[in-house]
This record gives sequence, C-alpha cells and structure tokens, in this order.
Amino acid sequence: MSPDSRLRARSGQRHALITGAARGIGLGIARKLASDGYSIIALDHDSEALEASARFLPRKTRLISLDVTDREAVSASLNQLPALNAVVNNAGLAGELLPVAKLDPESVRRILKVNVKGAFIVSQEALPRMKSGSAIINIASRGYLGGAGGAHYVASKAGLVGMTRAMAAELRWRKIRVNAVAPGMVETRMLEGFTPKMKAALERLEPEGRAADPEEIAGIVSFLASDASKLISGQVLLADGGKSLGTMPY
Amino acid sequence: MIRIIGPGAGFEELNDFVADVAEAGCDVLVVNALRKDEKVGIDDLQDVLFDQVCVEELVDCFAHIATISPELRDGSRIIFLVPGAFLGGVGCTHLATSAAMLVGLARSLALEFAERGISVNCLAPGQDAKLDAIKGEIAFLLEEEAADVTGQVILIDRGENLSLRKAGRRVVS
Repeated sequence: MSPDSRLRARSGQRHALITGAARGIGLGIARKLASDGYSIIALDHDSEALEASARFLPRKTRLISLDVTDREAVSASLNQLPALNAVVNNAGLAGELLPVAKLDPESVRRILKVNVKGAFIVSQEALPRMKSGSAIINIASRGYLGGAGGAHYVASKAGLVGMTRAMAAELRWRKIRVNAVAPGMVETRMLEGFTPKMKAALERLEPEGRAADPEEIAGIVSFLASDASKLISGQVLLADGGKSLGTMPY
Repeated sequence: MIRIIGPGAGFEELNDFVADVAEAGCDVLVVNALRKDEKVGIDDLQDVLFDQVCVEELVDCFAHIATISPELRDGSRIIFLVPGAFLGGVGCTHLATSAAMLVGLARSLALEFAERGISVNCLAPGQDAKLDAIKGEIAFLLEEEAADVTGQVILIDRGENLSLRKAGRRVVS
C-alpha cells in the first residue's frame, strides 16, 4: 500500500465503478484504480469472464454481472453501493467496418444501445451516489472523429463525446466532472477480427508503431478520476500518440 | 433527385428552396434534425425520450441513408442540419448526444463517399433558427465551387457558441 492510499484508507475509502471491467481496457482501468487505492466495483455482462478477472483484482472487489442497457438491473445493483468517487463507462461494442449501405438497422440499434444508452443509464443511476468532487469518465474512441466504414460505431462514440460535454456543463454546479478518453488502437479483443498481417499493417500506422496496452489508457483514466485533474471537465483526451492529427498539410 | 429526411420539422419550404438553388444534375440529400426541443435536466431525462432522440431517430436515419446513398450520382451533396446543441449545454444531454452522433455520421460519410465526389457537411444554427437564417449557407454548399468542402460543421449562431457568459447557471425543468 502506497503512503497515499494508506492516508486515503484513514480518511475514507474511495469507490470506483467500471463497466466492461472483465477484460481489455476495462480490466486495465480496474487494476490501475485498485492500485490507486480505490475499492473497485467491476461490472460486466459476461459473468464467466468477470469471475476470471477476479484473480487480477483485490479480494474485496465487488463483481456484478449485468447488462448496462438493463435499467432495472443497473438501478437495483447501484442502490446497494456506497457513494461513488469515480464512474467509468467503458462497456462497448465494436461495429463491423461495413459501408453505410450494408448496415442493417438491428446492428445500428444494438451498438447505439450498448455504447450510448448504456453509458446514459449507468451515469444517471450513479448520480444520486456521486458527491461533490467525483468524476465520470467515458471511454470513447479515436474513431469518433469519423472513418470510412463502421459509421454506426463512429456515431456511437461521437454521441458519447456529445453526452460528455452536455453532462459536464450541467453537472459542474454539483462539482461532478465528466470527461472522455478517446483511445486509438489498443491491444484488446476488438482486434481479434484482424488477421495477423492486417493487424501488423495497422500497427505500423500508429505513431508508436504498435497497439497500446490497456494500462496506458488506464493511466489517463486514473488522472481524470483524481484531484490532479479537478479543473478539467467536458474534455475529450485523444490517446493515440497523435495519429488523429492525420497528415497535417502545413 | 432531391430528398429531405430526418426528424426535423417546420422547414416546409426547404424542398422548394433546395430545388431552386441546386445545380442541374446534382442530387441533394438533406438530413433535417432541426426541431423545437425541450431541454430536460439530467435527473428527469426519461428512457422514452432518450430512446426516441438518441436511438430510434438515428436508426431511421441510417436506414434512409443506406437506401438512398447508392442512388446518388457522383458529385452529389449531402447536408445535415443539426442543432447547435451538439456542443453540449445544460439540459441538453439527449440533444447533444443525438446531434453529436449525426456529426459523427456525417464525417464518416464524407470519408466513405469522397471517392464518388459526394460532399457531406453539417450546418448547425442557433436555437429557434428559421430557414431564412441558413439559406445562404445551404446555397453555398450546393455551389459547384464548394465541391471540395466536406466533413465540416458550420455553426450559424452569431457567435453564440463562443460566449463564455453562457456558462451561467440555468434552471431547467
């Protein structure tokens, strides 16, 4: 236990809720916030993966298996929780990189429900448990800026950024900050659809020359959850080594 | 071909205006998402409204674009009319989310359709804007000279979005 977290333990335990916490970026965030001294509430729809993630997290971690789009389940679970200092909306689906003419309405609806509505439900249900000084962090994607193909995924992440700005404006009077992180390519299951050759080609396009580790995103979330960022709200931090700057013409 | 889709209302003369100014041989698709929207505080925002504005209207929009876009000729223009609320604001969670989604969609379409010479842009007027307030910008985007402008959002709000004083505490229902 670091001196900082020992101090926290005396002055009152902090609690962090993370959705999609069973693996990938969500698990990376849960591990990082646990090491920061937060007590972790890990949510995921996949109960088996959630059980398996337990070995990476402190024993006192609460594991809650639910679907973030299920209002009643979210409400019932969150009602049992202590006050929350950080809420991380990380649960999300990747969309197939299809042209818009090939997207069927059901796949559009599904991605909007999970990536956008889910974050809305969890935030809204968490708000009564959030005190002055707490923070919401939404995990968007560099893709929110647009891409040829997968317009439903782009729209969902852009919507999450819009929601971040609106909620930040409204919640500033309660001293609750709302920010978003927009990662580029990260080593997660979302890359499983690529062949090794395609993945390697994509990694070469990243300024770092590789996909980021979930831990590298978790560090940014840790900062946005902490008092070190207490003047920052309504912002989206692009975490992609600068790839989203594109080919600057000047 | 001129098509107007989207959940917007109150722009009855939009079709006639676009027909007047569009170049011959240039198809125009307008996605109109401008309408009078009530602000709702975050605690009072109901699932029914969120689902309508942030899910079902978007699903409809995607479906329309999926059907119409293959029929658009090269060099066509797509214009999204979105509320300035995409920048956020008090009581605007649902409006900012849906408007930002449309901007994200527009930017994707701009990339997807670039090789067909189809431009896709957004016009974002301030609150309660009438069609007259944005006619000039619509006409500009339909000009041949504007062909290379794509993936952009033009705010038409007399600088409203720049005003820091707007940060004042506002009461919403």
